Amino acid sequence: MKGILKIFILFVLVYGLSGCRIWRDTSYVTDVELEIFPDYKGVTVPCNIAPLNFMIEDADHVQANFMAGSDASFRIIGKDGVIAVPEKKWRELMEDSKGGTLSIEVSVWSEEWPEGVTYTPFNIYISDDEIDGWVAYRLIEPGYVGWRQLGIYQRDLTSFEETAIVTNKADDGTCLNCHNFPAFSSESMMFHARGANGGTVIYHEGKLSKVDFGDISPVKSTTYPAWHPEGDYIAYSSNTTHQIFFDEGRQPVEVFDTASDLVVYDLKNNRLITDPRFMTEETLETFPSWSPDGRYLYFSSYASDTLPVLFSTDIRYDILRVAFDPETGTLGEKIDTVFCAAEDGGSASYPRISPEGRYLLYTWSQYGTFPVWHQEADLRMLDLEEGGDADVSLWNDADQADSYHSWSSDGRWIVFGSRRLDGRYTRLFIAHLDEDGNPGKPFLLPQEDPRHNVLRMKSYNVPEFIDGKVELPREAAEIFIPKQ
Amino acid sequence: MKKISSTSGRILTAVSLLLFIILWAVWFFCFRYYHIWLEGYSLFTTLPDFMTIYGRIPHGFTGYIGAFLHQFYAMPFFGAVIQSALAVWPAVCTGLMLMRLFRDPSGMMWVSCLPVLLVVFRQFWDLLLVHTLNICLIFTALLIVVSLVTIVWKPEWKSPSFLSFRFMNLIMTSVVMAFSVFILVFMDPRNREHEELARLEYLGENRQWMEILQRVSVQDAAADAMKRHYALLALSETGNLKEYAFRYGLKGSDGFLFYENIDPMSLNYNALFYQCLDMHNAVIHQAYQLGVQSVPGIGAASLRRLADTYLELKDYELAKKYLEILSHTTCHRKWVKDRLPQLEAIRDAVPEYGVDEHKSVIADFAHTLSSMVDRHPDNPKYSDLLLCALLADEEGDKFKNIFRYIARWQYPDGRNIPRLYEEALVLIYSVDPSVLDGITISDDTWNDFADYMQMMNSGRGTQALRKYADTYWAYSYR
Repeated sequence: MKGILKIFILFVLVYGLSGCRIWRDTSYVTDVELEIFPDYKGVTVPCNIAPLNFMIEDADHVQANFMAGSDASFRIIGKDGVIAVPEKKWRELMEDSKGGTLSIEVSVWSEEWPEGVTYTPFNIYISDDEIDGWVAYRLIEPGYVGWRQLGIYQRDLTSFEETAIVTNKADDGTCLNCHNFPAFSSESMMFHARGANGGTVIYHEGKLSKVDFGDISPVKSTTYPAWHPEGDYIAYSSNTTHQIFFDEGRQPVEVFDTASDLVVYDLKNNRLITDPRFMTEETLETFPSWSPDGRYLYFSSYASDTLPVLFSTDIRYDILRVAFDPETGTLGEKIDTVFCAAEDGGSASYPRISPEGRYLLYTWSQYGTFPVWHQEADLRMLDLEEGGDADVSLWNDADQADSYHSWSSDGRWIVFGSRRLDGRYTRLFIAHLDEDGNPGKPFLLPQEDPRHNVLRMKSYNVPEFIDGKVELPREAAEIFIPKQ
Repeated sequence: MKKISSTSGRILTAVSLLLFIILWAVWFFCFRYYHIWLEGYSLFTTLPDFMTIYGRIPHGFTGYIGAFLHQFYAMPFFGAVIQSALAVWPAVCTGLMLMRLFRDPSGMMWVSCLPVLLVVFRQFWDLLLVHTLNICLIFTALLIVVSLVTIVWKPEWKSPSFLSFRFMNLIMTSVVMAFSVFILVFMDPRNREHEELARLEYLGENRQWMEILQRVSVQDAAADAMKRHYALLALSETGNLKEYAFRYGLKGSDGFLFYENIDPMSLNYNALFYQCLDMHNAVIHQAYQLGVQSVPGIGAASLRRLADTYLELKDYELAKKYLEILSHTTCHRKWVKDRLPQLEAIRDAVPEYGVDEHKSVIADFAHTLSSMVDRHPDNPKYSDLLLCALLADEEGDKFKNIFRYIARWQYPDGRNIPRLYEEALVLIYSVDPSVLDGITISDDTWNDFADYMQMMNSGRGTQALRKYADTYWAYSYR
């Protein structure tokens, strides 16, 4: 009798300590498509990505069978509806599945399926193409006027590590924005600090400096940056930006410029290079971006018929480019039109050339210059070699804004901001582009707990791939603190 | 272990209890709405981002505990318990330390009362509880150190004779009690003022408009912008704006909203104002601005307003998001549970943000309300606000045009026109007789106007302005 009691107690202990998480057999099989969050079904992911943990809403019990090819690799029993794969197991699985398909069979017990149901396995395509290790972004409340805590953060894409590069904790009256890096290098970084003691903070060649452009030129401030790939120049637009708010409609705010010019900052000589062609009041130039060889400067441009420029839904931006000579720091004579809004329709923002120089990825919207608040905003891509559009509609959400994007260093991946989850909070999505120009279905930035994607109360801004972890000197977070 | 003097223990218990009860009574009866306001301004959740924030700010640890405690302030009884307990705790620690160190400190237990003042002095405006909790932690640490030391080293110090007077226990406790009450209630008049404004905020949130009008006198409205705003909103919500707008000190179209102020109370008022007008985009905008005034970047009041607004808009994803965030707090489980059926009902609904083609820019008050009146000419709330704003700005022509526009819906027979509008129309009539085409002004208004003009023209202007102080005639003459 005592022996039975001991076995019973042991069973209860083991069962209790395991949190009732035992592998179960289901009573049903269904070919109904499984709803998981994030939607990782059919996505293409890099072989070095962090585990794609996912969840099933309203599930009492969930379990998943991960299969590389036809072999059962391992099984995971979920907790609170979440399937979380241990990083070591995931790493081994990725190694085994590289260039192939990972198949995941999920079984769910819920109110609807109290006896359990097994869904038809879904696939994840594991690309040979590795992704850059890190992505930098800003986190800020999507309240579009005030802010409290904000900062520029970096995330290790091969794990779940997120660390702050610089935050405004020393002075929450300061706004930090527009971070940029030369050619994906984590060794150099710039960002703007807006506040009483603000300026453009540049960390380059081991030196930290704060530049006030008003001190070296008539240009009072700079806005959107593009660091030349060779590191010696940073192109800026200098924008006078306004916002208006709407009392009805899905779009609550419109952001627009009434003036914007292009300038190039020469880091070596601490001078601002201006060109009268890009300093006129009647033309708005914005979103500069270098070609990968640094020989061309691309930018969005709108030529106005009226002065001063006021907001109108007729404002549509072209994409232009001008040659640049890094030896002399001069812009070429000829200005080419790459995208013509009048002919192609809509307005183009954030032109970005792929690292091999073949594609130009931009954000398309019906009008204006701030597509993140435009539900219709989508990513579009021009094939600069073949000419014409390359179809990347797979990357876009039909109902919500897809906007700021950047290329990985090998041109095989893009990261972009999208509001497709809820329409207000921008989240990061990563998508593949194979060597033939075929896009893969994008996937949401993996989080250790998938619910973090929903519960995070900040938006992601300006995602930029970087080749490693940025480590700024401590003073970088203090250089903009207002003097007493 | 050192034997504790039972007399000292009894005295400490009595002193602490007495202080606690008095402080609790002050906090509960004098600052009931302050607690409710503080809960809305603060936020505690178990989400990782939230913990990161408190890991970063100065005094993060105490700020985190403070945010946790603030959740319970939604029930003023418990808020007062926490406020009082935190104030009395250093006294308890001090008393226990005295008992560990002295042979019979019963005559000097009054010393333990003194640290209460350290807390109370800054407690009202210690909105994050950082100062209060830091003092409590310091005294707790001292007590632990003294307790540990006296385990091995047992001092049997004699109470200093110059401190040991049993009657002082009663006297000093009374003095500290009285001084604490003075500090909280009388020393800084802002405390009671803040409580009054917090009460108006509470009444507004609960749509107790008549109570607001009972609490805000005409003199209060003239002297205090926040009270005036609440009174005007209450008039608007009760349909009395067109009768008494100028009695409550309306001076211009910018008198209905706060434009420059970014303090939490002003932003919350703005959000409430727009909510009353069903202007959801503006509510959301103000709620976000209110949120960033809170340490975590969003406060409980903002979150609740956002959740409710998105439920009203039938925006399932965002309503669900905010409800989920609130479900990660300690005290919102029921609040969230009550709304789950409503959330479930909008799961497949199309959000109702209005039609994008008809959207209008939120600009100055008159422009914004003109746009609303244009789309909803039959809604008296919009038109009354706009017409009163135009009268306040003395924009007679615009008033005339808007009035004629809305009259088709609201006064189709040209009769029963509200008093203020009649007064304005009568005044405009003297320069533009066509303004009364199809409109019947009541005999009372004609008679009053004749009387007013007669008094003004006979050198009795001061009397006329006093007699007709609430009228548009007096306002336009000022």
